[in-house]
Amino acid sequence: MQYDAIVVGGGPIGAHVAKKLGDAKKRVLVLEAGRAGGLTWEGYRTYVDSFYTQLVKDTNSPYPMNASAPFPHETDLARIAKGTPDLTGYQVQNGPQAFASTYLRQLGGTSLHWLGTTPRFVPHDFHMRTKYGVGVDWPLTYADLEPYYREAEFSMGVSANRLDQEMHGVWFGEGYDYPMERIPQSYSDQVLDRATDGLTVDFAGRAYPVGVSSLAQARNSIPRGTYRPVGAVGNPEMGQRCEGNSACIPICPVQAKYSALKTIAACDHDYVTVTCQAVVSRLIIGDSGRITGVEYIQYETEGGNTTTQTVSATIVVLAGHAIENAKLLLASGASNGSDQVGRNLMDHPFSYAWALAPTTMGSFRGPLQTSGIETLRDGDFRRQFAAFRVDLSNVGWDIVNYPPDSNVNDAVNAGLFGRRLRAKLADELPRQVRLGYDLEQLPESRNRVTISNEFRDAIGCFRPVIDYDLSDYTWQSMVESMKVSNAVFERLGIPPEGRFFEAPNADDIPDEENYRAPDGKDYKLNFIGAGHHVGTHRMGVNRFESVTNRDQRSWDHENLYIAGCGSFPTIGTANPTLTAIAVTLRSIPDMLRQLR
Amino acid sequence: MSEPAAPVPPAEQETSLQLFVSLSATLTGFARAEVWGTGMVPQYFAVMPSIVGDTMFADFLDRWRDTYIRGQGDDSLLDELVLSQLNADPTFGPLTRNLASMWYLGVWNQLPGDWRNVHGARAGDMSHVVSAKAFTEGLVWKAMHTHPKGAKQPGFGSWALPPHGVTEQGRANAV
Repeated sequence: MQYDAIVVGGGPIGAHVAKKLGDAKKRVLVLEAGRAGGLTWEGYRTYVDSFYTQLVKDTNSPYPMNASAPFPHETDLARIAKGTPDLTGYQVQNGPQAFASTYLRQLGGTSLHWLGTTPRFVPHDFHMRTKYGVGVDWPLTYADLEPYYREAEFSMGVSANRLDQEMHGVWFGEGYDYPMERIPQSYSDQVLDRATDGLTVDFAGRAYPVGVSSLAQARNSIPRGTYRPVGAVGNPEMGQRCEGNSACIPICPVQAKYSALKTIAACDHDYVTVTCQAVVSRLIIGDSGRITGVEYIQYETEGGNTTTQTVSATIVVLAGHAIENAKLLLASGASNGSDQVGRNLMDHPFSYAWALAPTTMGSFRGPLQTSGIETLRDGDFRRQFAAFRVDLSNVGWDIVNYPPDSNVNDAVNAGLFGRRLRAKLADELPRQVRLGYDLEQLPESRNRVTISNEFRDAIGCFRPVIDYDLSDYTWQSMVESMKVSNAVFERLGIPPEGRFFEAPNADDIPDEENYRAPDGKDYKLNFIGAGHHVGTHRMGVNRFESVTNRDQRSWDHENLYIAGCGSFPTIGTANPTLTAIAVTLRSIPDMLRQLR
Repeated sequence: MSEPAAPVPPAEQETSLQLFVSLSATLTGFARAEVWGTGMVPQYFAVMPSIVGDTMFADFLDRWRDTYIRGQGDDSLLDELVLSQLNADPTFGPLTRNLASMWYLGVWNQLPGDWRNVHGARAGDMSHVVSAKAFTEGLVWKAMHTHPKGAKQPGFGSWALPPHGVTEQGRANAV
């Protein structure tokens, strides 16, 4: 069968490409490496049951392990000893810092476990070189993307109020508002909002406000106008509103949170064929430079026998995730005339601060995040150090020490039982407060994904090999972020000795790895990943410094598109999925021109 | 199985199941009816002996019976006795703590190495969530006045309301 388009990957990017091309009556084949376990309601519920019974409820805990299409787990992570790669998990980690983010290979992709936070980029994010003299500029502006942001927000179902989001120059098309009203802000958000009234911090000699505002989120709320919320796949009455399950990561039990399963289900299946358990292993490059075929390995059972097949189409769209796209290009010797494939890997290094508030915050209720401190996402300080979003946890210390399990075990092991045990947990857990910092990271050539013949998975595909470090631009921001935590904790009435900044394993950091700040002080800094993999096949204005043009079309292969977060030249401070979908929607007309 | 609303018998007359429930209530700080109300009594009553062995489990309940008889009717005396006779005991202490944490979290924690060196290491003695229902019925969620992650969802917008112990005006009540 001759297809118009092959889409590699059934996550949010691949699903949107398939939907748009299918709606234009183009024949599309989606090749997904993982299983289609979530397309039926019963299948999806098995993920939820798995979540309940996992001891460590980390990002990928609900989803079955798959030897034929492996993916990283948070529990894989180890501190990297100098010069010794960490081989624990799927990703081979060369360090010096562990790349501490995960993704998921399963139909629906990482949108099955994502949080669902959907802020837009701010206009200056697209011009970091011109505006602040760091990083690179995008080949696109905010104005180029604005209509596609609107389309993406309706496609995913985003809840927000326009007025809350008009900040740092973010603007909206005439008469526009989001499809659904903002998600109600949690009680702890309200406490923090009152506490930070009029609060400022000094950044690079200027005072910046520290204010709490509602987050745009792709989870269902009260619809505006004629918009109809999209419920669960196979059970559409379910998930019409966010019900406060407090489990967005790793799974929304009712599918009130957007996942790509919804877009896959909405495709015109007369035109869109989805083939799962099909791992694309190689792109076949013809003499003219066109991609003449795609080789993929099919498996029936995880870890079982495989068959290798090839298929061809007029255009090929890689939408397999920033790491997997880069891996596939490298494995195929494709699209790397610039030597940029796999380089400029970025994430939002995530550092955090935590404390017990003197009175209840009402923690452990609601979706995991309903507000943020968004006021420090832009400013002149970006010449010197990274901007950030501040994530306000609705579930206490969460990733700090996985409450409530650790609290129960600690209290029980300290000899508490009965009424005193119950009273201690009732008192302390709802007072937990945690601020988290999604810090910007600049594109750096040394931070990269590579492949090596030494490291292959069970079906012979390459495992990603990752080199990763932070620069002072981000380390310094981690130090500056403590000013924000201190100011907020001060307003909450938390004394300095009750404020905690370093990750629990910071003691493991040897002194020679301390960060020496411009103030001469040494800091032991630690962070985890935000799961925002960006930059490995960046767009640009010429073939020498970038992998694709602004339509995400390869400079080297005219019928190849490389789509998703990997296209971002810089990461900004926004959670990237919304922008990746907007960029991809903007690329659709160029794809259709090739399919005329 | 006994009716949840059954009157509390004197400790001397309790069956092993009733002893298990009275011990569970004492260790968790929840009433017997609340313990029964989780629906987890049958499973935990079966799981514990399957992991530590029938004899060890029977000895454990015997120790609790003796403790309970001495402390029944005097909560502070009973608390002291639980500490000295159960929690501080090298054999029964780890079982006591595991039973409490299992009720709170639905998780069986692997017994400490010292304990396993003396009493043996059974295959079932691995840290694990006892069942999906064990997780959603964990008493910790009730203790902290919320719902288990991913279950018993409280409904749209409930998280914006004042939490337990706070009035609509936002002032803390006496708890």
